[in-house]
Amino acid sequence: MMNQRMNIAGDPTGRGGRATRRAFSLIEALVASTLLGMIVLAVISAVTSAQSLSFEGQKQILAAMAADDYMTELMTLDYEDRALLNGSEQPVGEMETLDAAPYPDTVWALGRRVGVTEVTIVEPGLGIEVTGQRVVVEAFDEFRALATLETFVPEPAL
Amino acid sequence: MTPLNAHPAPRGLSMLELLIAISITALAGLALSTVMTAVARSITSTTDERSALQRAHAASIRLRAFTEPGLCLLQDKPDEGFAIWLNDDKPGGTVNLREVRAFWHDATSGVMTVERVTFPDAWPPELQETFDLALSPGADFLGEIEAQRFLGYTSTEAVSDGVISRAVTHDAGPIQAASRFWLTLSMDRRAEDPTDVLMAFAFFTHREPE
Repeated sequence: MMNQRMNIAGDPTGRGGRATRRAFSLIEALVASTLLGMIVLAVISAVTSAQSLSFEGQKQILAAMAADDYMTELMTLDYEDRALLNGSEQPVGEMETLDAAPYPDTVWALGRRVGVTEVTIVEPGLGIEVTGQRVVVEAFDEFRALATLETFVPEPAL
Repeated sequence: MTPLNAHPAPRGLSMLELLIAISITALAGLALSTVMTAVARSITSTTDERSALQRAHAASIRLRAFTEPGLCLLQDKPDEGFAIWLNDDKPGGTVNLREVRAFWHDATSGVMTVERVTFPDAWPPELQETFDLALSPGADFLGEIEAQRFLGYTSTEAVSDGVISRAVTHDAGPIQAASRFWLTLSMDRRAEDPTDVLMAFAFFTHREPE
């Protein structure tokens, strides 16, 4: 009996040879996998959001340039010819110059529209009335307007 | 009786378990690094494109400073550059050397520059006027600027860098009759395909030389 209970050297369990193993249970493995997946997903989501914001920034730059270009072209037209373009719109991805040359694919996400309306500006202090065109150029994507430019062109003297 | 050992000695990993654990960790790391590499590449591409657009935008603003007060396009040589008539400071309706601005594009370095004739400050005004020759409408304006450059009578400023190619199109038959023109720049994006940007320019006080 004493032999049976004697602690054999090198045997930490005192059970005569085979160590007890404790492995991960299925639940522990699933929890660990889930945690790892959530961390990776969070990192990828953050990077994707940053990419999306960066793309929005690019669109803003392109929209400002596109609106500026259109306004520049419109200012080369005669007063009457410019009025004819009131309400004209170039849909998203179909931007072209006034001479119908297509824009490069860089502006695939943008469109433009122009509004030309006859207005009279009154300066009561000076007793002046000036008639002219209010020209509004807007560059937009499929969701919203990104850049708007507005200018006033006085009616040419007769 | 020997009391039971209340604190068993810790059991380490066997060689096989260690190798399996290392292998699994390596596979997980490889998968993660593949994802992060793809993400990093995408970020770099986006950064390059944004840089190209910003350079193009800056070039557009610099060019507008010349074209908006300018009078007309004078000449375009597709592989070299184009020239505009900036002003008629020496009145008469003719183009004089100092009224010309030449825009060059060096395809090798990708740099776009603007060059103008500047005579030495030490010259008296009368001498400068004498050397400020009038050019006919059909003259080789870009060649004239090059000739002045060889004499050391020009100054150059940078307009943009990273320009792979440029192309000028305009709205009229003869180039000097064009009241508006478009410049298409292909901006370098390093390893990616170039970004093409089209810009519109107008001469609000358009006038053809006599």
